[in-house]
Amino acid sequence: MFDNIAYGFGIAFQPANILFCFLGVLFGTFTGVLPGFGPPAAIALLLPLTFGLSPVAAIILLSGIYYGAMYGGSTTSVLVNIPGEAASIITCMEGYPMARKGRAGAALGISAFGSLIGGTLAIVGLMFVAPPLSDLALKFGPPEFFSLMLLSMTIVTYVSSGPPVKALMMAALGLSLGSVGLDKVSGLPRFTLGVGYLLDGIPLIPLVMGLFGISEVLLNLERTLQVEIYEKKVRNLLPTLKDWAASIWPILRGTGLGFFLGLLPGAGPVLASFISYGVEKRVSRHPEKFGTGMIEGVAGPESANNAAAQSAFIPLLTLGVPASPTVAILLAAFIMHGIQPGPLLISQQPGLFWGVVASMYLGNLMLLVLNLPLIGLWVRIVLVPYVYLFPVILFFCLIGAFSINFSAGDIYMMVILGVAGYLMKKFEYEPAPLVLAFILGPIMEKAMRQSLIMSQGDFSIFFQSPISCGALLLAAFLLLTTVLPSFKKRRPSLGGE
Amino acid sequence: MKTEDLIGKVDSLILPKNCRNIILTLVVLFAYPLLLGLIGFLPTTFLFFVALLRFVEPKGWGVVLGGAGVGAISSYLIFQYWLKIEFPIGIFGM
Repeated sequence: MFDNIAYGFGIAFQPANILFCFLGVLFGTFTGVLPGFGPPAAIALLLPLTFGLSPVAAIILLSGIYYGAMYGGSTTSVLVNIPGEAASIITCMEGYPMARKGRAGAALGISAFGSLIGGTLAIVGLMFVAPPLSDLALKFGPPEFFSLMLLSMTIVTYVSSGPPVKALMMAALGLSLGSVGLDKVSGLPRFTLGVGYLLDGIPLIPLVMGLFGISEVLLNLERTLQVEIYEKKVRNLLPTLKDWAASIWPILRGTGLGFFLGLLPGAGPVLASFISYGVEKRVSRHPEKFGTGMIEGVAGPESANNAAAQSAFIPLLTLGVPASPTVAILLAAFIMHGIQPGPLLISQQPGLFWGVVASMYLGNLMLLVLNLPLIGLWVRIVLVPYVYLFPVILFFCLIGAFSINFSAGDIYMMVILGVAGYLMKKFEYEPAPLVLAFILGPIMEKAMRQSLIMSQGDFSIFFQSPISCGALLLAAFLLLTTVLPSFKKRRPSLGGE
Repeated sequence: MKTEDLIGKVDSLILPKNCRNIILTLVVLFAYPLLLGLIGFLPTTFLFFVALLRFVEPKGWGVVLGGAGVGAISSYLIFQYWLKIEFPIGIFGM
């Protein structure tokens, strides 16, 4: 175990990889700071640019964006009450009141340190959990993978805000869109409408950038964002001893919570942060003070969301099952670089696995060092009027879409999907289930076909193993409970994650 | 969704000022790939920034042209020189 991680550090500390780690977390934080332009769009944007890099470097870079965005989002939450992305919404609730009391520094500081601790402990957990889990997963066959992915999609649908029917519709649409193109087995075109461009299917990156990036910009264009900053100069970034005393348990609780929730498909950093807040409020001696600036309400959720972001890598790397749309894009990144994440990853590509894990430690540390001094920079970015910001964001999206295949068609696709995404969001349909279904659909289809070949067409193969059967029953159970009337409560949108 | 809610939503969709911005942006977004093949990367990018800076929330011509210029040139340097992305060469040869 320890030679492995030492080997990993050897890889992570190569100058090029350090640089990519740095670039990743820097861009990630920047993404987290920008309202609306979140990790999915950012990873999709940089993905084409990583084609020339080695797979290790590419994954280090792209993962850095993911957990970096968790840090960046909290900065704007605390200072201007605007969450950079969904996982930072909770930080607004206590962090902004703290800023109004002149304690922005402590809020930001504890948020950064809490994220560091949460992330680092989660990586330690990853190190211990992933290899045995991989070994277990080696016993999985296509039926198990199919059922797990089905469960994953069901959970994402379950956790979406709004009526479950809408989320299911989005997932179904995603499945349909995912099947556009040439059928892998028979070679027959499906849903291509005679259009040559669609023979390869709908490309992922324009889809993600359109649904998550362009649509957000269009949505933001409807209103002018009034930005009120509370403290232009933030001092005292180090929390006091009293702050630490109050925060240490929330941080540890948040870390544990986040670690486990990150493992569950569909749960992830957003849910982790909400639940952590709920927990802190419950266990606090002064629950009535929540909302006025309690540091526990920042420390817990921030640690939770970072821990969840790290542990989301576990199902990705060991099972090849992504836990959320963002992680699904990372999955696509792996595949595009010729790596198949799954049980064999650790044994076949130890350099990649341990290198990425080691660089996560490095990345979390870099984020601490980056975020505290550079706060002034991030604040200045938030304060740039949207009029100047949005052309730049749109431009990056345009270039990003173009750079995949050097085809203008991709740009058109992205814009069309951007309009679609915009309309979807206006009518409160979430893109997250769609994207997850879009990515998982083809993979699930392949697994299902393999299973049926194995069983010679007998569907009962999915119920023959305990894991597969269990996953399917759980998925069915979740779907059934959505029909119950008690299920009508509104949950926070996970769209941006 | 109740009928009143739905009508309210459609209402907010047709709000003049906001709608104009969005439609304008979409026109610009669709025009960009069209022009890219015709006149090349640098001029198209320049026009892109001009259009967005000028027509969405009008700024003075100085800001617009200056901003567009900076935008176009820096994108040229970043994307064409540094990242070596090959853009179609339009009639102006760039």
